Amino acid sequence: MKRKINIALKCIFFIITVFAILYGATIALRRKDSLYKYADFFELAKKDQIDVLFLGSSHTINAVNPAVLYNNYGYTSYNMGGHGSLLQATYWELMEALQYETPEWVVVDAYMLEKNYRYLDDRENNPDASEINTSIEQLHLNMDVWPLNKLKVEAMNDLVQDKDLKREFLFDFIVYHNRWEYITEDDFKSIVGHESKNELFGAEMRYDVETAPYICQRPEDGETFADQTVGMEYLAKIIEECQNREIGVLVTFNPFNPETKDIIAANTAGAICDAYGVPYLNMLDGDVIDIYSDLNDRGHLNAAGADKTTRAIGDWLKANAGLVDHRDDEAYAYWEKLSNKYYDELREKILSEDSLFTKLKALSIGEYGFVLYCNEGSQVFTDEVMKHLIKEISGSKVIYETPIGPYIMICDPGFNKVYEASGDAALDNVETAMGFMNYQPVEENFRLFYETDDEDTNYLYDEDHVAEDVQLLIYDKNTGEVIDHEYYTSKGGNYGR
Amino acid sequence: MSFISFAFMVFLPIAVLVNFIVPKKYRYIWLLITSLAFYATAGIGAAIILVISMASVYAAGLLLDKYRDRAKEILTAALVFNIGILFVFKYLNFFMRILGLVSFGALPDIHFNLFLPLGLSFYILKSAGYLIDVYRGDMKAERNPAMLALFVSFFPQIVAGPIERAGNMIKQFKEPVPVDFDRFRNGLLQMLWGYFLKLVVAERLAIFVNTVFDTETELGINGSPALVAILFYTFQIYIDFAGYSHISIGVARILGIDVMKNFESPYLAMSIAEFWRRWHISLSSWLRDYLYIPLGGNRKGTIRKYINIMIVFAVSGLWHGANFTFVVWGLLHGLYQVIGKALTPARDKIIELFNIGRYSFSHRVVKTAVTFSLVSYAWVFFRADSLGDAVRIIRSSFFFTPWKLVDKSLYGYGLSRGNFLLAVAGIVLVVIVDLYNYRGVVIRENILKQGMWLRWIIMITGIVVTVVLGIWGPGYNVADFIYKQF
Repeated sequence: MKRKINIALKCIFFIITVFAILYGATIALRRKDSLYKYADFFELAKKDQIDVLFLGSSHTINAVNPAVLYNNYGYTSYNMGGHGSLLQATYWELMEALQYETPEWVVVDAYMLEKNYRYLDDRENNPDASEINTSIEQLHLNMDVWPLNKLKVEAMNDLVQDKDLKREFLFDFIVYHNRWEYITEDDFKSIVGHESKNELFGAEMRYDVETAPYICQRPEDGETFADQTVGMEYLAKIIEECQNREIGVLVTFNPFNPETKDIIAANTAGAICDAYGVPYLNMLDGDVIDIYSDLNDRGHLNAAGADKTTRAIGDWLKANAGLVDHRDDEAYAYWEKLSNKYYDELREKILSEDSLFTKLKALSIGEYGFVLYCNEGSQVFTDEVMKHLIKEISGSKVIYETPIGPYIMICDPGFNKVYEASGDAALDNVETAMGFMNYQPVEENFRLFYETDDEDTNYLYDEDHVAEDVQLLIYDKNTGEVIDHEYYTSKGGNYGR
Repeated sequence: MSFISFAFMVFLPIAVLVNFIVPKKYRYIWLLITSLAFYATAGIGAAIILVISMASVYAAGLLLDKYRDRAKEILTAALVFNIGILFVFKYLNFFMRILGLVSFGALPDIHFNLFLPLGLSFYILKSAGYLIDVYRGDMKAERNPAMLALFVSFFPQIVAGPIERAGNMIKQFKEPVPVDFDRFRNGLLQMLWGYFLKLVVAERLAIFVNTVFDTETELGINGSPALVAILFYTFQIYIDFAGYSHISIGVARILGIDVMKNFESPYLAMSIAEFWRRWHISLSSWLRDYLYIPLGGNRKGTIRKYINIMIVFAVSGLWHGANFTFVVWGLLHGLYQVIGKALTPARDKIIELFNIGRYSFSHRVVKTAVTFSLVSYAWVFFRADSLGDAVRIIRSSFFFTPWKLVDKSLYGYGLSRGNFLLAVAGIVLVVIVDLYNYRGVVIRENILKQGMWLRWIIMITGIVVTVVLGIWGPGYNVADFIYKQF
């Protein structure tokens, strides 16, 4: 008997050991994208510190920056957007999130409202195989992190019809065990909970500048979809869920370069909001972003576009939501820390960026003061895209006033001022963080730019760089210390350094 | 239900646990229930055919015992009936195709929409062996229908063997040995080795092999890729089938039943004849005992011996599949042996002339390498979809492109660098284990002699490696065991 008990105990211990090691392997091998995105959500939800949940697709991921929202308004938020998330996936994302946190407000983007197939793997109603594969692939980003429970089973039953696919989501080791070839140090760190994580509260910023948007044919004013779609059904469910739980809900249509159907979808979302009596912020209309410079690509915003969109939502929340500004609250130091980190990284990104378009766009966010100088005869003056970008940053049309230059713009966020001069015009004693500055064009390759108290230092002339026709002087917006002085050649419109 | 399915992972513990609890006397009933349940998952049609075959074999056995004077007729009728089942479900369409070919189209190539019942070729051979044993008087007919049904349908064996003898199995069903902890551990370790072979090595090799064999243009596979694919397939089929056999034998052992070995380091054989004494032993010994010897074996002169060899290997080829590729594969092996035997005097002379030590290491290595090469190239016919494809692959393998072995081109056939190296490491491991096995060392038994901690480390590592590195789940089209299709 004693021997039998001994054997039974050994067997149990053996099985426990095997399962413990396999569990560790499961964690190490799991693709970390989902955990990476939501790790902070769980931590912050534990502290009940999330005021606003942003829901939607990649349009939300790239359009809403919680670090900007906190920095400017003191509101705490988490960007729950999922790449390629249809509204049914967004609905279940909300349901999963509500298990951990009940926010004051939910802000849901209504993009892809027109999609009218229930299951993400519905090959009959959606013949685009690559779209299905992408949807399924991207659904892992949204779903992998949530633990296996009744709600997750319900979600998968609602989102996916193929049994094998469902199983992959419920027991993701089936999918990820073959990641052994790609595991990194971070994968092992995740076993003890020290994996790297998204430090932008779920958001992701992009920095490219799409300069050739597609201009679609506008539908008739107020045109909406004639028939109910699955997307509409799930937007309604999201609104109802929030209303049932007494969570404020704001529906948005984040700005991007829309097609005709997107404009109709935006109108339809408005109609749904009217029916439910919930607020709606349609940012496709109006001038929240500049479509020629705030896009990273036709579908997604760059960091400058995200900054503008986040501020637009922040303004709305400030006016309507009754949220508390947490910026002076010690308990919210982590938000302060990560918000500052974003701006630190933005500044690093600006200095390391090679593309003049991207750099100027990022500079327009206002983390540095800068001086842009274009020499007489520069190709800038025949480059409509660059001129538009400069106009967008300066907020004036001075760049258009001269056919051949020269042109100078001083953008000083410290004093919230932009100074410009073109052609023969000069700037006298303008107040900047660098001091009181003077600009005087002299001849084609020579101009003066100096501080009133230090006339000997001409910032915009260097014999070694006579050939370069564009100069960018970047300075600390508070101290005026010059941080970088870059020279570009506009030849061929490439703006090479 | 496949051994590599989740359903089996649930089924097996239940089968083992209840088998452990059930009194020895009734254990065979439980094993029959589990075997029939296992087989029922193959479909109701397949199950009906199994039951009909078992009933006919049971009845024929009793009749053979009762009417000794008419035994030949009874045996013939029973064999015709059961082999007829095999013919209809496995060979009818092939036969119609041959008729169409030999009549030059005068007879239409009719195709019947027939399914191949799971394990049909295997259990028909087991049943035939039993009937012949009863006919010869080597054993008494089994009177307990459940016992005979269990022999035919025993679930660890029914899918792809080993093709056991009734004398060995029924005796064990009647007097099962106690399933103690040592037996359990031994069986479990053997199963684990089988799963490792199948999931980690064979399935990985299959990715490369399938990519090369399914490439329709020669250009992309000329030279090294084709050669490596032939080499990989040689190991894939062995490791796949050996993996299955280890699982099968391991499962049976856990259930208290000892099943014969199917492999004895076959690729270390120094002749084709020796290869067949080491490869798929349960089939080759079956063919020897129930076909080659009754045909006269080597007792009726040299020419007749050669004819008998060719017949046996043609049957062996045809048994594996209803396709000309299998027939050619079988005939090739027959031809290898006939030529080998015919050339024996000449080979002996050369050995004498050059004073080569017959038992020297170098001579043995050369013989092993030559045998391995002959077997490898014969496998191409076994794997290819058609004779034309086989010739194409073989021709491709003779192109001289050794640079492809080192310029990373081999990673372009479905296996990344890591997976390719892992596959090669798997082959090396199998060769090492076979070398030990060749010398009579059973590594599994040596592991079981070690202290608990070392045993545990080995077993846990084996489980984790198999689960993590195994080719299973989405992204991979995991095939069932190759021999299951026969």
